[in-house]
Order: sequence, then structure tokens, then C-alpha cells
Amino acid sequence: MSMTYQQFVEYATDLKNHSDSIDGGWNLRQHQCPMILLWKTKFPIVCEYHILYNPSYSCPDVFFNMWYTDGKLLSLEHVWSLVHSFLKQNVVHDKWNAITQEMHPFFNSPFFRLHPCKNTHVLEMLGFSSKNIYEFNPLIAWLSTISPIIGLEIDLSYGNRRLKS
Amino acid sequence: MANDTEILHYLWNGKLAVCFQLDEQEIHGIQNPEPFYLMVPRMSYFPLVCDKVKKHFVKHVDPEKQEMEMWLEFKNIPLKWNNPIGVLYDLFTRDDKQVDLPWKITVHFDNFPEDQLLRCSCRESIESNFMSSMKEADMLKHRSQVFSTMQRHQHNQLWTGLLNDKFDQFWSENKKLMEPFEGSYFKHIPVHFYRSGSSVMTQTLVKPVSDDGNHITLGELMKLNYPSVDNPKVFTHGICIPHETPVQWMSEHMSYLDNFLHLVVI
Repeated sequence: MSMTYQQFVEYATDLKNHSDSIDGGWNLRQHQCPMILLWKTKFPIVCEYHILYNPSYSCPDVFFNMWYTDGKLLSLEHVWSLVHSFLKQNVVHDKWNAITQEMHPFFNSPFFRLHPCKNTHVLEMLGFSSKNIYEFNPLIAWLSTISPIIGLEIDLSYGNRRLKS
Repeated sequence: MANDTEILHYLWNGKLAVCFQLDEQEIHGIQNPEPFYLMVPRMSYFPLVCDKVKKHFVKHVDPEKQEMEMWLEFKNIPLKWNNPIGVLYDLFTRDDKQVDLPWKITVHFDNFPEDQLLRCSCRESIESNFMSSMKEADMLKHRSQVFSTMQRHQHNQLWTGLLNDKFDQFWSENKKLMEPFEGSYFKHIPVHFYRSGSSVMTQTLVKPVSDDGNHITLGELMKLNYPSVDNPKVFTHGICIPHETPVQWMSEHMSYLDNFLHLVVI
């Protein structure tokens, strides 16, 4: 179920291209490796999402931060409380293995993060295999699966289009 | 696997003398608190050894700020509690010169630098951070086949071994994580790299063995990762490591308890 780095770059670029076509707001940035990021304001909270590649787990990795509009960072407890109600039980039950604060590998500053072993688990549930060729973008399938946990809304149009290669 | 128990014991017992002082700006009242001296294990983490430090200083700060989270700083740089103490100390080594002991650290309660430090509100946050590192290290070494098949009580042995400074308790489980994956090597070597004077950590996939089947040495690893640095010195546990040391051997014997090698490059 592990995703190769090349696949990640391909899927992330595809996600970004579709985002551009609908004014979705995702940016592609080059740090030590490519990373796509998104800023969103859901008053009174400002959110920043980063999706990058995790070489240890060979899977996508999501880092996010949430601030009040006055610039103060939300507490971890508050972030747990924002998980969508239909997943909250599962997350709260295992919260210290689900979302915690970690150092961002490129920025050396604290971010919230969904533990990467959850990402490999989701990819496994979706039946992902690095050997298959996909009609639809597996990174979008993964992101839409975890999005209710991290307070991210994804436009439906990401889901009903074929992967261009 | 980690056979040289003399080295494991030696590194486990490594300690640093620390002198904690409350930041002058935060002293409330007319009496200045005495500095607080402590021998701290290099392998441990500050929040696990600082209960007494907090107790000593908390009565000297503004009562309104006593509930705030204590944090530490050296030379105006906040100390990341999620790194082992020995790593934090070695990061300040410059040109072979280590920081004088006792290490004079400033204690704060106010103005927590939330853009630089992880919050550490309770023991669970330390435990989760530590166990998550171990899990990642095992992902690198064995595709997570050892850690994920361990029982909960075995994970607890690792954590409480660290917490209570019990070498035998920790190593009774940790030795399983130090078994080679295939043949006599791990799949990858878990390494965190730092440049001295900076707290930025970098991580790359490190192989213990070359394509032609020879073990990779520290010197070869440095050439790969720091091609522009001329003859880099590499410190860990306060020791300058000879370049001919195989990285597989280092991983088995010189990793911190989170199962990562933490190498400070000078």
C-alpha cells in the first residue's frame, strides 16, 4: 500500500491543477520536496494545511495549523473537539495516536498532524497499491477520507474527474 | 544486534550537570530564588526530570502565571523538550568546544513561544511523542513489523523503563527492536541530523549497506549528506565519532531511546 515519491508528485500536481481550474486555492511549493498547501478562513478560525510526502512511511503526510483571528494557536484539545461528529468517537478514543502536535519537517515549527500510520491505514482500506494504475487520483481519495478529521472541506468536483497523465 | 552491553550501559548512564535559574524578568517579590542544581540523564527528556525544578521556582513567579506551562531557554534559544536532553546540549558545541558545565539554563513561565515549541500539557504528550518516534524508527528498520506486533504491555515496558530509569526493563523489549531485518542489517537507519548552532533537524533515508554489499561507514554517510562540508566532525552523546564506524553498528549501539541516531554535524 505504500505510495512512491514519484506517484505522490504526480497526484499532488494533478490535485493542484484541478484546484487552479476551480480557484480552489491549493499552492505547490518546492522545499526539500514538493508540498501542496492551502489557507482557509472559517471565521473565527484561520487554517493552514500542508500535504507532503513522508519517506519513512512512504505515504502522504498532512500537517495543519489553526489560529484564532487574533493569531493565537488553538489548543490540541480544541483541535480534537473540532473533529466531525461521525468520526469523533474513534479519534477521541485514541486521540494521542491520532492527532498530535509535531515539528514541521521543513519549517521547524509546531503543527498539528494526523499520525502517518493512519494515512497508510486509509490507503490500505481504499485498496491502494503502488503497482496499480489509477483512473482517479488516489491522493484525492485519501484526502477526502481524512478531511472530516482535520476540518477540511473538499469540493465535490475533485472526485468526479479522471486522472490526467 | 546490540551486543556490546558495556557501551549501552555507558551511554544510558551519561548525565549532565544543569544549573536552572528563573528569568530575572519573571521574579515576583523581593526575594530572588536560589538557582537549582540537578544531574540529568542525557537520554531523558526535560519534562520528565523537571518536576522539582518547577516546584522550586513556581512560588517565585506572579501567582497569576503559576498555572502557565514552564519552558526552558539557553542563550535566548527555547529548548525543544521533544529532543533528548543530550541532543539539546550537543547542539551548542562549536569547534570541539562544549558548553561549560554546569549548563546554565533559564526557566520561564510567561510568554510561551508557541511558534517554536510543542505544547507539553501532560505526560501523555511526552509519551505519545516518544512512542511515535519509536514507531517511525521501526518503520524504517523493519517496515514496522516488530513494533506493531508488540503487545500493549511491551510498549509500556519501553516507556516506563525510560520514565523510571530502568535499563533492564527498557532493554528487555528494546533488544527486539534492534534485531536486524534481513541478514545482518536494518532496512534503513533511523537518523536525525543537526548542524551545530541550529536546532533544525533534517532526515533522509539512510541505508546501512551499499549496493555492492559493503557496510556503509559514518564517513561515507557524511560525504553523501554533506558533500560541501570538508571533513565534518560528528558528535553524539558528547562523543566525536570516528569516520570509519559502520552506521549499522552505530544504530544498534548509539541510538537514543527513541531508536533514532541523533547526529550533530560540526
